[in-house]
Amino acid sequence: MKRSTTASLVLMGLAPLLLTACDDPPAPTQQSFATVDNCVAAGVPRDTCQTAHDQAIANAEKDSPHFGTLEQCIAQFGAGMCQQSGGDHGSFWMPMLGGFMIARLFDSSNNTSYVPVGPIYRSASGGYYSPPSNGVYGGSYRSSASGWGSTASGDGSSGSGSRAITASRGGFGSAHAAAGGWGG
Amino acid sequence: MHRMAIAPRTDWQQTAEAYGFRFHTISGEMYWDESAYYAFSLQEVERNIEDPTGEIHQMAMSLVGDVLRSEALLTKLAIPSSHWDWIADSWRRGQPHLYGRMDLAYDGTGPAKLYELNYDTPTSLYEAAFFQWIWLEQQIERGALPKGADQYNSIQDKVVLAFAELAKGLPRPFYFSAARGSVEDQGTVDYLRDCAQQAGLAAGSIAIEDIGLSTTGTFTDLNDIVIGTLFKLYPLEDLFADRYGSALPGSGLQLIEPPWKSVLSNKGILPLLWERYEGHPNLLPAYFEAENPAPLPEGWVRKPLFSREGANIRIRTTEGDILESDGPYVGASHIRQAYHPLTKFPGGYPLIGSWIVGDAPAGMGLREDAGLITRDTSRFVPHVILD
Repeated sequence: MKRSTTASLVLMGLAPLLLTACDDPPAPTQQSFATVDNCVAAGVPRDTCQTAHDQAIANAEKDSPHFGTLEQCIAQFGAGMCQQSGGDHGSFWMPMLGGFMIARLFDSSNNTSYVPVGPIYRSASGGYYSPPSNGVYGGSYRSSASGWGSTASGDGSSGSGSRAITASRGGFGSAHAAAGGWGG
Repeated sequence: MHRMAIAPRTDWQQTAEAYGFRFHTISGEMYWDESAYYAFSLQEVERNIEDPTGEIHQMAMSLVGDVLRSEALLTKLAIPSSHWDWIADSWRRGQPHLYGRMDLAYDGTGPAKLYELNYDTPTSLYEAAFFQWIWLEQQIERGALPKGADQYNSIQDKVVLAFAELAKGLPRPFYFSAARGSVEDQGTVDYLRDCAQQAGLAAGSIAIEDIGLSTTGTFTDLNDIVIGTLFKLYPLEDLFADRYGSALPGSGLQLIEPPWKSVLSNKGILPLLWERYEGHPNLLPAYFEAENPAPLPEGWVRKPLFSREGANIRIRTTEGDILESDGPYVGASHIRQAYHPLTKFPGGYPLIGSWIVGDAPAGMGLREDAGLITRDTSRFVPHVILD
């Protein structure tokens, strides 16, 4: 066979997937939900939805992008999408919580479980920002999509993720800002 | 190789939208076109596409070190001297590349001919690797195509595998980035980020315009966290020329595609390939215009060193007609390549985009255009292997 044994998506798209060209176990999938009811409607147990929802709210400030001014936040996320923080993480402007992400996992016996992943923030233009997630495929779960048996534990920032003082933004992307796309 | 008409799936648009394919129609014009497919034999694919792709890739890779050691060649390719050392260093350190797409002219007869390498910001990945695959599975399932139908497309398998390999060595955190305004580019990086996630390589996403520069010269995300590795669907030459470009060499930022890809994404690689491998059946004669203004009297194609999406191309056909496309790449140096027109099929002129993932040939996608110059207005048409 000259084609992929399976093609799946775990972050993109609305529908969980789907097809495999052979009988591999399904791949883990992730979906974002705006409300607990949407989450339940997708077949996730209500208590998991509630937990994911509550955790996203609890972590919304900590995980969100931080802006010094309302204008900076609006520039990234659009008018009406920003709010001022008032909690334990200092005073700053941040995008409003757009919902929460749930990962659907399959273990080696093909049993399904659901795990909260974290908050997501939507922009007025329809884009979103999601912080690097925290090893949702670690432990005994495997990414069966590739047959690779990956058991990654690290998130994007483990081991480093040092902070720096940002002096400016916007110095990339200006060369042909008006042009649209860069594909070749 | 044949072009076959087929009924589009009645639910293809809903399917596209359900899987995040937001650019199936661009500016009101159909981009994904499943009213037809191209049928290949396995031998056509393996002997005439896959094998030459691997060979051309090896030939191109064999030139990188030599170019990076030669100030004359770097100058000829218009790579800025401010970044030479940093680019060469990325090659010496073996900073990994992920992928590339080479455009091949092939109509089922004779050897495929290399038009160019898109080795820095190749697009049409999602539609080739994923949506084309879904199309075939559904058309087999629905009985519109025979059970034995196949496709030259293990792109996603190989991309996931590549990320699993890369995951061991990349500085973290890892971010995917593209220009905010481009739905197509954002869709492509969303897809790549998805593949990385499937390989267990978690990554964030950030618009290229949102990247910050810190007081210590590092690049930061929106939380002021120092970015370790940046996948950028944004041309290296534009990164170099941007306001932050001079900060790149001292920033510690690792890039995918890596800086040394600026040698291979440059149209100047075409005359260099011809110089070293003159007469290779898959190469077209090519020259730097400044050196050999008229070695190709019969007909030629003139390309700027940094053109993308078929912009600023001028063709002089064998009959002496001139075809020209407009675009933003003015004032640059040019190369000339021998005229070898695409063959017209019932739907237009198909161009084969042949993918390399890591160093392995991985699959293909075809784009049809109404004219000889394949532009960003072309339509993506799926393919099958039928034996």
